[in-house]
Amino acid sequence: MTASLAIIWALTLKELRIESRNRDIAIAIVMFASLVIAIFAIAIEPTNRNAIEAGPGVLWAAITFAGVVGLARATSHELENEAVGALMMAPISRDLLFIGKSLGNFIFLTIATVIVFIVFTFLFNLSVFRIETITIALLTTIGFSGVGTLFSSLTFRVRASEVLLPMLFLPTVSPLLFAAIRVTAAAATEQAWSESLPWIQLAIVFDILFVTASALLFGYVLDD
Amino acid sequence: MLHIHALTKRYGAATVLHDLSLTVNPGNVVAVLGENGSGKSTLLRIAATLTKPTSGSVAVYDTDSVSNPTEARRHIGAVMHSPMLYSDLTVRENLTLFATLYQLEEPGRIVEETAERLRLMPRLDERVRKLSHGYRKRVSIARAILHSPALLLLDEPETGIDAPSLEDLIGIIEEWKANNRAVLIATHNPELIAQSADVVNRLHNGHLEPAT
Repeated sequence: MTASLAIIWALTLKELRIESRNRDIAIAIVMFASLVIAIFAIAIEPTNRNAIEAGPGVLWAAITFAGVVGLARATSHELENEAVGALMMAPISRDLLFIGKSLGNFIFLTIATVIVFIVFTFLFNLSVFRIETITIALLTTIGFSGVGTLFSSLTFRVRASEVLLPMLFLPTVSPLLFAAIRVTAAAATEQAWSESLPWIQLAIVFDILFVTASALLFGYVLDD
Repeated sequence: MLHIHALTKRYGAATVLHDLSLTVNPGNVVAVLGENGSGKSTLLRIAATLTKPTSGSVAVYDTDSVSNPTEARRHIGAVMHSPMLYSDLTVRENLTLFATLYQLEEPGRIVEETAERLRLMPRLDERVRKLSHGYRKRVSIARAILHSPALLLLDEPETGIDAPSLEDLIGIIEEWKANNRAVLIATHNPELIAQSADVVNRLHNGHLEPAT
């Protein structure tokens, strides 16, 4: 158990170190996502009603964009010098590789989400820092990280991976996106927690099923 | 140590390795020669558990490395064409990562000892991206021998390294031999073959035959 935790930590630390040394790319991704929100804010001139109607969709489109680009970039450093080959030769379970990689993606996506939330709150004058939106954001980030780790590993050897990854990833995570938009919309109109509950339950079920399936399939994908 | 039996590897219609058998015994250094594209790298990648064979068996220490690769990997260290290192990590961070993945006791000490041996100490805290090709190869060799594997797989390890580094490499191969470990090496370097190899084979048209 301790050995497994040490391995997971070493893999996550590797991801974080590489991320921190490529800050320019991470900043560019978050800036671009923020720019999407800014463009919509200028285009629709968010009055209170406009902000409530269009805001949740804009917010999650921007986060999804940051997620897809971030996932693709997180896999690219594995291909440079074929570093992934040394990982594959290590005598460790593929589950540990999956957890380590997913955790790294989760931390990156969480930071990106927090920044995009702040930009959104400022430009749309709509607070999304409520317990139900934070819960759904956490669940969405877990789902994005788990499913994204699988799909980015599936597509990273393919020539058109930058096209294939969103084509596979976006339809798969669409239930999570619907749930996130619904919960954010409910929170924006200050509806009762019970209005958001079914969507949060959907996100929990999605995460359990899809992250588990991703973990189980990861080894096959990596080895084949 | 390494037993390859009736190994065939096909990529689509092309058969790269055809019904190939090879044994590398403890204390032996087996060299494989062959033209570019003859399948040497494919053979080494299959032995390293990086590529699955189409048919046939590969065993390391009686462990079937196709059906039980995790156990077989404990005994294998490999230097391939690519350095297999993270460019944005330092040499120390790369080696410490792999020492942790191999669950070595005192990874910091082992990393420093291995770096000392390959004369990497002055560059230990530099990022791999900033190193020359020769240095990267040396770090790659350090990564492969960190866990003192029983079987060392070397795919043209002499490429891009200078004469002192080649001497270091020959020293490592000699040590592996003396400690009853095994080395399978694909090379074009006559010096490496003359000084190290016990058995020399040639890979031609997917078949392995003794080199003349």
